[in-house]
Amino acid sequence: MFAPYRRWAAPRHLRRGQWVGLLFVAPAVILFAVFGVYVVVYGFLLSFARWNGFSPDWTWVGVENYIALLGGNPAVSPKVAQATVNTLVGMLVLPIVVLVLGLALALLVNSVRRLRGLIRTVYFIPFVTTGIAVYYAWRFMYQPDGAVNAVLRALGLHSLAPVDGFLGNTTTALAAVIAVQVWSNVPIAMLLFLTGLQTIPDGVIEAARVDGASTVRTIWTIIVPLLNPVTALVVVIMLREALQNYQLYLLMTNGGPVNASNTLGLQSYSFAFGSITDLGFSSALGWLLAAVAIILAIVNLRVLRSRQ
Amino acid sequence: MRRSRKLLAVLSTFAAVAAFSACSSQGGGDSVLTVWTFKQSEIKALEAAGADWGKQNNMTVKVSVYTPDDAYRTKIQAAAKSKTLPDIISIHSQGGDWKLAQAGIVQDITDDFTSSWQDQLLPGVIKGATLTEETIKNSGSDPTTTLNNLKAGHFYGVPYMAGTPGVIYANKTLLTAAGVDPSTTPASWQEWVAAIQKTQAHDSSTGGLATGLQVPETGYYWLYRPMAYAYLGADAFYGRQGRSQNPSWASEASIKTLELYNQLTPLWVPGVLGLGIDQADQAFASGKAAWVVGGTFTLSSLSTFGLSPDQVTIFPVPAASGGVSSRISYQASPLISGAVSSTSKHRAQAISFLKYLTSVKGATAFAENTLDLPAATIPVDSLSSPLLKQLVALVTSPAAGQTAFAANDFSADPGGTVAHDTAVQLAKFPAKSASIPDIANTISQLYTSAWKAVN
Repeated sequence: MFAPYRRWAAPRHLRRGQWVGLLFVAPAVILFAVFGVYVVVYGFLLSFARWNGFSPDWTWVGVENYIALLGGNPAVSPKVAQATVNTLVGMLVLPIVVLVLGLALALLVNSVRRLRGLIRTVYFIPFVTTGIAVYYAWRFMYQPDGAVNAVLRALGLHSLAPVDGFLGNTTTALAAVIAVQVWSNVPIAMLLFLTGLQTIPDGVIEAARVDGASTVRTIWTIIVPLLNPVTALVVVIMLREALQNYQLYLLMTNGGPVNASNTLGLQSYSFAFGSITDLGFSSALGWLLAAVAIILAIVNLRVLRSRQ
Repeated sequence: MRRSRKLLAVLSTFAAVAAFSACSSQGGGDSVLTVWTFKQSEIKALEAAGADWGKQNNMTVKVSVYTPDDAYRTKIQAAAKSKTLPDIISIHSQGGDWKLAQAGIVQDITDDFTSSWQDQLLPGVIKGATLTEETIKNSGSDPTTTLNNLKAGHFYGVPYMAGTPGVIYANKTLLTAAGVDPSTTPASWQEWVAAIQKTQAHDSSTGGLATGLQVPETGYYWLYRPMAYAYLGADAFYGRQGRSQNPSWASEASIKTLELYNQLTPLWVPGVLGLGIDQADQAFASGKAAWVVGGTFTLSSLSTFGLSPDQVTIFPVPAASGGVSSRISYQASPLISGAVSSTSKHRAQAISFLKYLTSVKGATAFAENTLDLPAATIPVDSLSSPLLKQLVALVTSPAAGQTAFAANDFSADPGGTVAHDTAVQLAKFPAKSASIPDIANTISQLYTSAWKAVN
């Protein structure tokens, strides 16, 4: 009879302390529950319904939204197909270009002995300044009489300066927006690589030089493999950026001209806030994007881990 | 004891915060009529009308603006959920008001919107604002577009701003410099194209035509549809969009309209596909385009960008020679309506305010403050802007013996995104990314799919 009483009394004593702890963590838990769990669950459920945001009830449709997006609805599928192609271009170009430029800049900055802090800050400016104002500035620079065309013409490269500017031309609009994405993301890659470079012991590089390895060979066979974890991180960040960033496309081209720069992220936004509001399609597309992003991140990390 | 006092204090604080937040979210008490709008340019006009009406009715009108459109939509959705809607919601007519009514967010005001009140509005406005059986039927059963909870012939908002797209604004200085007489309105589409060719030949960077083609609907709604309506005639124009697509989009006459539209391809200002609506207006106002296509609503925008009315001449999109009609005339379409929210505790006052806004006095003040067309009939001479007078005349003086074109009437269309998708296809002309037959066939397929979805 005694033992059970003790077992019951001890937790009661502890509960008083636990209550204080629980009170302290309660705001964070409530915030996470409301803005995290609730939103995720709400969005997931919405992906199985049709809803224009105004009607009081959702119409449950099961997996029809997913089927429609994946080719089962002629009014929806072609837009998604074109947006997929454009997104794939971004997913291919953005990680590669950002990796190459970020690593090159990091190596450059790492090799500089003087004013390294200043140079690092200067290269990091695009990352901290990107936002609506900068995107609008780029839009002006891409106009037919904008700065980019002016520079090209001044250099005698008239054939490379599009008459309609870079954003008013179906063949250049996507590339022009991806270029701005590269510009705004290279600094974070550079900073990550720089951090990685500073963890490589000097002795390893010195040993390679003593063995007669050239700079290129040292980078390719020693530095790059040692930076694999950073590379994995940069690739994951860039894939997420290419998949989910819609703000840049919305502000610079709104997916045009003629859907030439429409991406899946922007298409998801258009389903939610476009000419016909359909939050079910928007949510389903968002979940498809999330699934792709998670799969790619896992694959990427596994591939790089296997190379280590 | 001390603990219970603390508990009481905490509860009182929560109660006070809750009470304050409830007050602030609903935005008013018994003597405040709340109005939401999505147009910045309307605030001054609505506040002025509110002040005048409020004096007579011993109430205060509180006007709030939420822009852009998507933020406004989200605001209404959130307010509908939390039951903090204003008394009056400004909303796009001929669609937006019906969508809110279908969702139960705004009230049916048919009984209050009496025939004597309707008679005060411009010809065409009431016809446009009336929900028809055809529109309900064509909205289909899709839960995002259907209007099947609504009744044909009923009203769910009172139009207070009207107008029409299909108005061309031309820069007199640039026209004169190119040898084009700005005082002579082009008699046909072909004459107009020839005039643009002249201004562009004079200066290729500023002589072209602008409109906000980044929003593809501008090219379709504002330019192609009026021209095609005049060329095909009403029956063929609406028949082409109808269930049987008679005539087909790929028919000879339809292809001809696409060819006429394609004549503009080399005449757009450089980079037109990258221009938003405001940017196109700004380009015109700053002399970077000799012509801009818009609507009656463009005048206020141009005025905001500092364009002097003396520099501008206006005329409607001309009909092409060789078509069914040699002249196109417009009727005023309802553009923005005031709808009474379903949670309003001031229904009678809201109706009274909307009645004031559409009275001669209220509408004249609205026109002067916004440089936009009011939905009510007002004496043209009372307006101070000569261009506004011309715009009013444009929608009130149809050509003799001709049915005026209701530019915003999409009742013959199937529900869904087919109009937007058609606009995207037409944007392929300035983009030079598809041939005329390809575009015609694609649009035809779009309509076939859209009708199948409605059925």
